[in-house]
Amino acid sequence: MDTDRAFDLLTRLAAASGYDGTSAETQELSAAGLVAALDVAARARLADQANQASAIAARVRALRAALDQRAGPKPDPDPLAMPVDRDPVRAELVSLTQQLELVAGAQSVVAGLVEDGSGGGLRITLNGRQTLGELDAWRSGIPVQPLDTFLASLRQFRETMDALVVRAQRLTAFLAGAFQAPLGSSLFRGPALLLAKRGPSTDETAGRFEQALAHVAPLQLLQDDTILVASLLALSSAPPADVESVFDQFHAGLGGRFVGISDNPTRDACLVSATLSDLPAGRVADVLLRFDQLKQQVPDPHALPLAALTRAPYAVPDTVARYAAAQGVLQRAGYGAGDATNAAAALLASSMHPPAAYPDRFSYLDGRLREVFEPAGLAAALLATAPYPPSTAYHVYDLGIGTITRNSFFDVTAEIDYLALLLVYGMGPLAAPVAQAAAGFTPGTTVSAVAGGAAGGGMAVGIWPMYHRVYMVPMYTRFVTTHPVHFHAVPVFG
Amino acid sequence: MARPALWVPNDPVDLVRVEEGVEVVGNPRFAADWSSEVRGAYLPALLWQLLDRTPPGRPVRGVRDDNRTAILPERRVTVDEHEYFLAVKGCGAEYDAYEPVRLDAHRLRALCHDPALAARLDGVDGGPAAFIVGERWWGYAPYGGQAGDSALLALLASLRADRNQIAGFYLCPLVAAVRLPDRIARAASEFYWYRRYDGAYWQEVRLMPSNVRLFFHSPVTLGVDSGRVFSLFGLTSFDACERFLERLARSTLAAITLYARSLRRDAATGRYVGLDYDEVYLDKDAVIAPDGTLHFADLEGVEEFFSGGPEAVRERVEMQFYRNLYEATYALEAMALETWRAFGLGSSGRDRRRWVLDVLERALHADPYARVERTASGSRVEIRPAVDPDRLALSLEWASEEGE
Repeated sequence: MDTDRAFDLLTRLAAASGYDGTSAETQELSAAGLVAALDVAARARLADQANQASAIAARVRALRAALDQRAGPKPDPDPLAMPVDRDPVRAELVSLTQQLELVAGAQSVVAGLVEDGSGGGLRITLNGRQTLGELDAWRSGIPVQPLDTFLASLRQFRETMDALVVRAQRLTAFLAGAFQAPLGSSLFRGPALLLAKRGPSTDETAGRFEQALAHVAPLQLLQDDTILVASLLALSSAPPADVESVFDQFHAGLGGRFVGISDNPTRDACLVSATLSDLPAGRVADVLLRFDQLKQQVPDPHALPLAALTRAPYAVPDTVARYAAAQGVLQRAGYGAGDATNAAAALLASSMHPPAAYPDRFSYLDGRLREVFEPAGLAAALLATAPYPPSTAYHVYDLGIGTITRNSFFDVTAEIDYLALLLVYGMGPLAAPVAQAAAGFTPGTTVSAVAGGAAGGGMAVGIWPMYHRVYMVPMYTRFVTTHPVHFHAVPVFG
Repeated sequence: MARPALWVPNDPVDLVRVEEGVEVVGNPRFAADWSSEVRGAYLPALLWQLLDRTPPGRPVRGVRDDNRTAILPERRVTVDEHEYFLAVKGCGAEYDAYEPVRLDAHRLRALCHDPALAARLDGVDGGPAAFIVGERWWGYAPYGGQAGDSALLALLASLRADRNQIAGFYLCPLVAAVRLPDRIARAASEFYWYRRYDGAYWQEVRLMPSNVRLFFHSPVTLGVDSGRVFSLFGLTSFDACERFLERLARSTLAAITLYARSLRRDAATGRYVGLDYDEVYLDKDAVIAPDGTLHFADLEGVEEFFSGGPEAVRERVEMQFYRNLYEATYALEAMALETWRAFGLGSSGRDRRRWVLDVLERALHADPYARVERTASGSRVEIRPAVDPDRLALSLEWASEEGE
């Protein structure tokens, strides 16, 4: 069975009408755990059970009403006279209520059964509903393929996300220990998620982080900047000495270049050098030259957006034109000039999508992420760079939220969205079987061109965490929760 | 087996429990729970300290709930399948009445109108200190404390209940209403900004199954922190979420049909009388038990209202239903959204709303007073009041259609 047919059949099952699957198709869906089939005898047993519901419910209603009539408006003269557990009305009510829960379950199953011609019945399972949602989200962006292949890809995708969060939980504990901070501190979850993507061995990642930290510590940055820079250095799979050497070269080269285009040249030079530290040592001079060219040609240049553009896989004139187009899209969406808007534009300009696709991709996501992120344009631009349709990108982000909450990898709710974005950015390659099949998008260039671009591509999104390095806002959340602006809220609490 | 009460950690509150000079109006249904470890009034530690630590008392460490309430998580009471902890309403305000900053000795000194008392604050350290203040708040209540009529109205609603519920409407019953000794009241009345309160100072000692509210006034709320609520209540499977939603739907529908289900015929006047809300709301005045059952907490606003005839009854039932329906729907939608998200059930709002309706229908299956009716274009709730149901029944819209 292919994905289109599976979508059609599952849709009909979910709506409990019009199912026309063949016996072989039903078996395939059943074997995949997407539908449950009941034989004639099982259906009859359930129906018998369900038929008792009305009588039990009527009796429960009568008992409940009788009990309710006993209470108030005045209290019983001696309410303690009849111990509750010896009251026959209550005892019957408790027993019938338990029965009713079972019977109501059977009734619900029977009501949702779809005829399959066997006299028994079919119903969609929870797994089937999840798959239907996935098919709905992905099928516009992927070619029709065998259902088995699709399900295997999804399984891998979900397992990957869960495994990442589990690793991030371990790394959070490691970071808290390293900085002698409480485990629940919000400072570490974001960097831990970044680090978790490095590889399956948390011990190795932790070792790399410690090494990077030792290299970064003398720079005397603020603690959250130190953690972010060390995390970015630790992400590279190149030998630590090479990474540190490239970092140092960029740090030395960029420091002077950031004067006048950054509010904090010292810090930004460190952050940007860290995002570039995965490049080969032989590319440093080229990258700095490209940085200088972009700085001259981009109007009103800012350090972090320039860093992203430096890694864009396009020639300098093309990059400048794409950047201008992206800025236009953001401005038309209502984002005023500024560092964050420029950074969002740089992300779009560095993506594989052609400028003509920016408006649709960006506006779809921007509309959904406003009021969620601050600044929202940056998050929307980040998801818009994904190699699949924007609706799918949003779905992946939604899965990320589910993964974060399911694993309780957060403290306050406000950080969930930020952590989800960190989790899913760059998840295309991890979801390779699904993402590679995402042929529906209209790329401005090929994936290989991105990988082999002017400065290596890929890490442009590294600037995103810099804008959100405080991933959560506990004080803000507390304020919103306890200081409501609401039409009937009392001035100070109730 | 009872589901344990759960509370979200919050700031500690230092209280002192005193018994001497305290007047108590208790709820006989919880007489056994008014034990030697519980009974008494709960004073802010600083207020007791200012009065030379008299009457004698015992220190109690509570946990901040909203501005003037502290929960006592160690003191537990079980009623059927629910466990509750004790909470004291009116044991001191955490925040200044006119600025969003915590009260402390320095601020209290500035608003104290008794020079002798003010002088005693000089040596007190500058940390945050909750306090019962004699500012007349809402016209009739002391800020940080509780007025007598409010506490006794809450007790009346509790007496009307069959322990923790009134015909399926769950509440946080009062164990007792407590009047503070006059000497303490006089001292508290010396602290005010604009308008002095000279009445009696009361407290409510009530039972609460959790400190999670629907949207406002809790450190964690279902509407704002739904993911965290899932963690706190251990909602890790779809089945658990569905059971939670079913109880939430059943109890929330009971809350918005309270007038119908509490309706009585008043023999003396021939009129109908039932319970309705006066300036209290589901989003800030109700808490959610760990099994999903919504409990109304602020009972001072749950009062009897009379209706002259059938038309007036129907009008009040309809007004109560629609006035609270948005907040009830918000609760169910917040729960459903988080379930859909946590278990990756797709983004179809239509599917999600259909699920909510299915669960709601099941939840009301054995409810004597309300049930779901499906219609060609949507769904309605048929409400059959507790008395004269054939004359007073009415059908109100739940959803116009299952649109996208």
